[in-house]
Amino acid sequence: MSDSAGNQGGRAVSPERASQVVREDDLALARRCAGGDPAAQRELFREHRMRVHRTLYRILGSNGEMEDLVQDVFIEVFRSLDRFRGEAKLATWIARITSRVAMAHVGRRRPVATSLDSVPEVEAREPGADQVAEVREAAERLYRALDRVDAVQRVAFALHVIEGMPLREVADVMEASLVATKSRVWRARRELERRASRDPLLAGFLAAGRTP
Amino acid sequence: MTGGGDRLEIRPGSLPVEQLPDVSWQRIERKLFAQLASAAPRSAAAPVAAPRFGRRAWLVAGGAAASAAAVAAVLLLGRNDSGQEPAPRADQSGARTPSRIATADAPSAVSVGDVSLEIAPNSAILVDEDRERGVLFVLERGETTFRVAPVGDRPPVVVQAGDVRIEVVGTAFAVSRQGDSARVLVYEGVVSLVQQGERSRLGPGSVWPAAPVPAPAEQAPADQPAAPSRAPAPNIKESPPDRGRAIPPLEAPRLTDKARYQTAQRLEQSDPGKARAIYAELARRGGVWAPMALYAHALLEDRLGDQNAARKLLQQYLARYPDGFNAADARALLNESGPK
Repeated sequence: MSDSAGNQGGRAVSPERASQVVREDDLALARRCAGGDPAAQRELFREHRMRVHRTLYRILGSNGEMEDLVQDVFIEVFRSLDRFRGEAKLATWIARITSRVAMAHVGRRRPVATSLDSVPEVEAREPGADQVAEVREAAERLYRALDRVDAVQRVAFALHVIEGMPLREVADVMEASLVATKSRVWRARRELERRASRDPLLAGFLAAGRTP
Repeated sequence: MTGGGDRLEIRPGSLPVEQLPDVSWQRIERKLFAQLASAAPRSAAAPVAAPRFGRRAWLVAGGAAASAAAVAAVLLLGRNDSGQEPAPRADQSGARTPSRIATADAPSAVSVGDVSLEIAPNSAILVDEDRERGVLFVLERGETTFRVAPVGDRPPVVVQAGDVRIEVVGTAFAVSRQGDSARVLVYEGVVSLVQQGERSRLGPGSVWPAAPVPAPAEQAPADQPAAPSRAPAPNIKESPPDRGRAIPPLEAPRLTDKARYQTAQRLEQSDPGKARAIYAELARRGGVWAPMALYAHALLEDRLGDQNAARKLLQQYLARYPDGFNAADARALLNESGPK
């Protein structure tokens, strides 16, 4: 898609024009999907599935229900595509749905066991194995702490701090103002720091992520 | 991810994303497009605020036997001793929120409260946790080994597998689905099992159900206990370790170090003695989780008020792992507590 957007017929196009072409492509794909074209639906699924999974993972951490959640996102995407008008990039529009599905999941669940399906044990003889284990442990503690944070604040924090998404983009995904988004990230961080006061590993994570 | 020098740094934006395996993507795609193909008439479904199609599909259409067992078991958990049915538990949205863990080709180790589970490949288990009513596990398929810490005033732990209900105080046992019923092996402790109104108590080494009734010529003498009847009224039976057949020696499967570490963390409040023992064993054995266990053990002793033990453990930590992730904190804690 980027090739067709950035270089039409060998001529360079302006960023604005490229963006417009991308959105026209998005709109065309969305219309084909909404019209029930199975090939278009598979194209959309395969093009966006990794990003959806990544966003869910950043918000929720390792999760035994990940397959169901990815499926939930795409079912909602396909159910709503007839309302996509191309005002935002399709990726951003899908990210909005993804964050809402994640928020609904956070709001609904109680603290549950973390599935370790995809967290293989590290052999002690592997170089750096203890560091890898500590990183995993820190991530698990972070997500356990995030379980106690308000869902909206958690999503904002996860997208900005864990995923590294710019605040303005987070605001766009969450359909909120920049100020509200900053406030959500700040409040989530404050809550995590309160919980990290007796957890050096979590405190280390937060300290490493603080903007200088 | 990791910085230079002595201290590990975990930078936001670089935490690893554990990728879904290809088989998961294939499963998602297959289920998604099957659902899309069949969902066209109900496009006016629930709004995005509650897009729980995956679990809804499981609860409603996930196979008659499994769903019936799950629903029955959820109701069973909600009953009090008199069999009355209280108001259903609900979350903020008004819906019950059990969790489901399913394994593919690999086993999985999971902790839920004081319960550690090792879930065999190709198994699925529903977890319904409630602070007051206890934890209910519904084994949909496959096999799971449970280790339940013996905590006195903890709410009950119940495992439902088909029409078999197992109530647990503190023990280790394995349950595998056998059609609409189940097979139970007890490694340690005692479990209470109910099927069709008949209650049995299974001790260490017990296998349930017993082997098929032997031919008359091989039956036990008259003074031996008879096989339990299937009377409809509750009927408590003590199940001998070996119900008349040769059983290979039972050995409880060993939890992974990670699961043991997590179990110890969860036990710190409810059973610090047990948590202390697990940390000590992990630290003694060595391995990837040894430094974490040793440091956590020191913090636990400090919190329990035994500063001397905490100091010794912190010193041990620094001697064994001078460049460990928690070394700087260990030194700071030792300095704070002053020379002794």
